[in-house]
Parts: sequence; structure tokens; C-alpha cells
Amino acid sequence: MMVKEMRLYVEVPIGPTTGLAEIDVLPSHTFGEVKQQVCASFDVDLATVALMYGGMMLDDSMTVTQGGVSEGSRLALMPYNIIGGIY
Amino acid sequence: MFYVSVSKEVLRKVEQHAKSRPEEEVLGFLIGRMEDQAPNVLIVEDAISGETISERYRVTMPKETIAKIADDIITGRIKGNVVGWYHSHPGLGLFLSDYDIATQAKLQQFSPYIVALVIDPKRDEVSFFTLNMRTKASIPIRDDNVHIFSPGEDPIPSEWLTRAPPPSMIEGPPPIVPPEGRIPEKAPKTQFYIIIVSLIAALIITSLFTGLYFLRSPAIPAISHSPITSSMYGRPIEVNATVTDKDGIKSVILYFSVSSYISTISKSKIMDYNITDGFANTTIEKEYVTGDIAYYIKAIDKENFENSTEQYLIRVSDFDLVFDPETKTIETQPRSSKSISIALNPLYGFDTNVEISLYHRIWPLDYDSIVLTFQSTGENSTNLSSETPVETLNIEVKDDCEDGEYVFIARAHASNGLEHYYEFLIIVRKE
Repeated sequence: MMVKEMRLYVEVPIGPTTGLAEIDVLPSHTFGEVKQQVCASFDVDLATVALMYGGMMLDDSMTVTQGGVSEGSRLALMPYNIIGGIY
Repeated sequence: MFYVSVSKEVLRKVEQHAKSRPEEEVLGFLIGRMEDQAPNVLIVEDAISGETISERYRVTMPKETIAKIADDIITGRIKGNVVGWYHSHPGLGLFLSDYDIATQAKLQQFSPYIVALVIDPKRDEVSFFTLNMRTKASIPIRDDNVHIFSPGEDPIPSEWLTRAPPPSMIEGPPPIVPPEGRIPEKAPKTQFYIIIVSLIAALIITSLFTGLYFLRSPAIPAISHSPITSSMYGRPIEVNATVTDKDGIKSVILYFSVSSYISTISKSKIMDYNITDGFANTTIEKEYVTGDIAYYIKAIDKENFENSTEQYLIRVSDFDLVFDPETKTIETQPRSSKSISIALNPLYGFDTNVEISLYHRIWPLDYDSIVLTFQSTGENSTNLSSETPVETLNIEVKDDCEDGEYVFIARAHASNGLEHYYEFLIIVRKE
């Protein structure tokens, strides 16, 4: 049986221009795998960012199905924390 | 370098936030945009925050808050994009610490147009910073490159529109150079290869035709230029070329970016051109010489045939301080002394004196029990130059010193205006 690919959109709302990636994934893909592909196309450091959806950060080990992300969803790629300070 | 236009309301909000917790650091995002007609002006229109973990010398915006803000932007509840971040340094002064630099780099990897706004609510000072991504040195954005606009006012002052017109306003669009490390706008990975393949195909076809045309008639402008490879920080750079064409030259344009590559938003200048000897020249003003500069020259003849040089990189002089031992975290006990050597490492022809001054008023307030001095002068500042590039810093911990972590800041100020900050952490622990 063929498992249908679904299309997701990943927005990067950092900088004056929004970056947008369209990506076709399988429901069994993990967000870690999705993130890897998106980071490569935006040329950003994988270790500093996370995928976010619906106001939640998506765990890298979770699959697309487990994260409740459906066809046509818009995710965001953002740094997963922002730190200021001396020590 | 680019200009920043910030609304009065943003500065008021940031000040209010910082003053609401004057003994702790606070943090938030700056929201803004750019306008097509002024692609060198970053407009900051809002400041937002949410739940953060604030301490005296540290503040963190956790993933939960970031995820909510991301959702608000994507769903349009927040208008604009993240164009920077702000945080407070209560009583500490304006600079970017190592942590701040790491955060700025994390954001600036997405776009060069990201600013860090630092506010000291106790001294009523604010400053914008950006980062040289190669050296990871923070660059304060000069006051005359910052405009503050009131509600209802045009965020872009008219003189900024004329000062550095975008390339598209001169002679046709600049050549498309895939910028490294930049967000491919609306270029998804899945279609990326198709785009690259078509670009290569287009390039081959174009070069074939160009080649054929060139064989038939030598009508393309010839540009002779000796590349500039290095220059001094804060000093104007003169760019010369000799341009000839049998149809006559219409214009010679210099495109440049204060960056290690030409970004899609480069600056352009029409070069002065002398018809008799084909000499073209212009100057990159000293204001722009704050980091490496990528550039190329394009010539267009009266028949609208054009030619460009390849891209060149001007390494702009800079310096590093090299610490021996390498670590800037020093563990010691009361009633002991240590020394570290500090060496000036000039980069790309840097030959200016550097004054290092130490600030030890920062934290904790009882600092008198640790004394930092430079060996030769015994003062809390010293000069490094190419003749005396090494200096020893003495650290003396008195016997009444409390256990704890002591932060010191060294400000390295070169006589040409280039500044870097270095932090020391001295950990005192009784055995």
C-alpha cells in the first residue's frame, strides 16, 4: 500500500523577509528529520533551532502524525531559546 | 552597514519593561519590516515579550514563549517579523556579552538585518548592536545611522532614500548572486535543485551566446581593475578602474556590501568616469568600512551592453586579543596571585594602538578584594601596539575575599575607533 506524502510549509519569520520552505513528508517522518531538511535549505545551524506549531515546540523524536500536524499545515522554524546576560 | 528606524513607542515600551524590573535583566523581541524603496533601512515597529526567566545577570526566553510568539506571527496576530531582540543590563553599561553574542549569532544566521537593542535602565542609555559574523565581534550601530520616528511620521527620512539608492533604481537589476548563508526567499528545498539546474542551464546558454557575440563584435565594455584586498577599519576606500568601449560608456557602477559576500541588497554608487582616459573612480565612505566588504564593478555602454568584474573581497583590518592561558575563567583562592598574558593579534594589516581598560565595578559590588593590574604600568589600563604586543595582567586576591564568582570586563579600544569587549570570570574558592 502506498503511504501518501503530505505537504507542509515551514516559515522562518526572522529578518525583514519571511523565509518559506515547502516540504513533502511521510506521516512517519520525525520532526528531527523534517528539521534537518529545512535547516539544510535555509543553511542554519540545526542545534540552535526548533520547529514550532500551534504555539508549541515540536519534539525532534516525535513523528508528524504524533505531533498532530496535517496536510498543508504551516510550521515555524525559530531558535528554541533566547538568552541574554553576563553569566 | 544598514540604517535603523525605530518608533518612539518601541523605545518607550522597552524602557518601561526594563524599569519595571530594575534589579533584573528583561528580554523581548523587536518586530519590524523593510520597505521596497528603502532596502537598507530596517524599520522597528514593535517590541513584544512574554514569560521569561529573569535573574540579576541573566535572562532566558524559554521555548514555550517563543512558540507562542511564532504562532502569533504566522497567524497574523502580530504584524511583521522578528527583526531583533532587546534586553537590559541594569547598571552594567552597553555592550554585548559572550552570551549576547551567541544569541545575536543565532538570530543573525537567518538574516543580516537583525539588531540587538541593549538598555541600561539605571544609566538611561540604549544602543543598537549587530555582529560581524566572521569575527563574532559586536558592532554598535552609530547614532547617526539610527532614526527615531513618532506615530504618524514616515519611518524613512528622505535623506536616507537618496543616500544609498537600491541597485534596481540605477541601471537595471544587479546580477543574481546566490548569497551564501542567506534564506532562499520562497525557495523550497524540493524545488531548489530544479532552480539550480535551470540556473546552470541558463548560465551555459548565456555564456555560449555571450561568447558567440564576443567573437562577432567586441562591443562589451572592457574593465581593467586591480582588486583591493585589504583596508583599514574606519578609513575611506578609493576604488579605481579603467573602462573602455568602442561605443562609448554610459555608466560605471560599483556594487558593494558590508559583508563577506554581495547580498541581494547591496549598495551601489555611480563611479565618476573620464571619457578621455577611461578612468573611473569612487570612494566607499568611511562610515561603511566597519567590516569586510564584498564588491564588483559593472560597466554599461551606450548600446546597453554591460560587463561586470568578478566579486572581490576587501578584508578590513581588525584585531583579536589572545589570552594565555586560553581560558578567561580563572579559579583561585584568597591570598594568592595569578597572571595571564594578553597578546594583540592584528588581522589584515591592523596597525593601530589598542588601549585595554578593565572594569571591575560590575559584580559583585565588593570587588576591592580582587585587584587586577597590568604589569608594566601597574594601572588598570594598558596599551598594546605592534612594538609591544604582549602585556601581563596580574590578578591579586586578598585574604578577606569572599568565595564567589567575580565578573570583570576588559574594553579594548583601538585608536581608530574599533572596540571589542572581553569578559573574565574569576572564581574564588577557599580550599
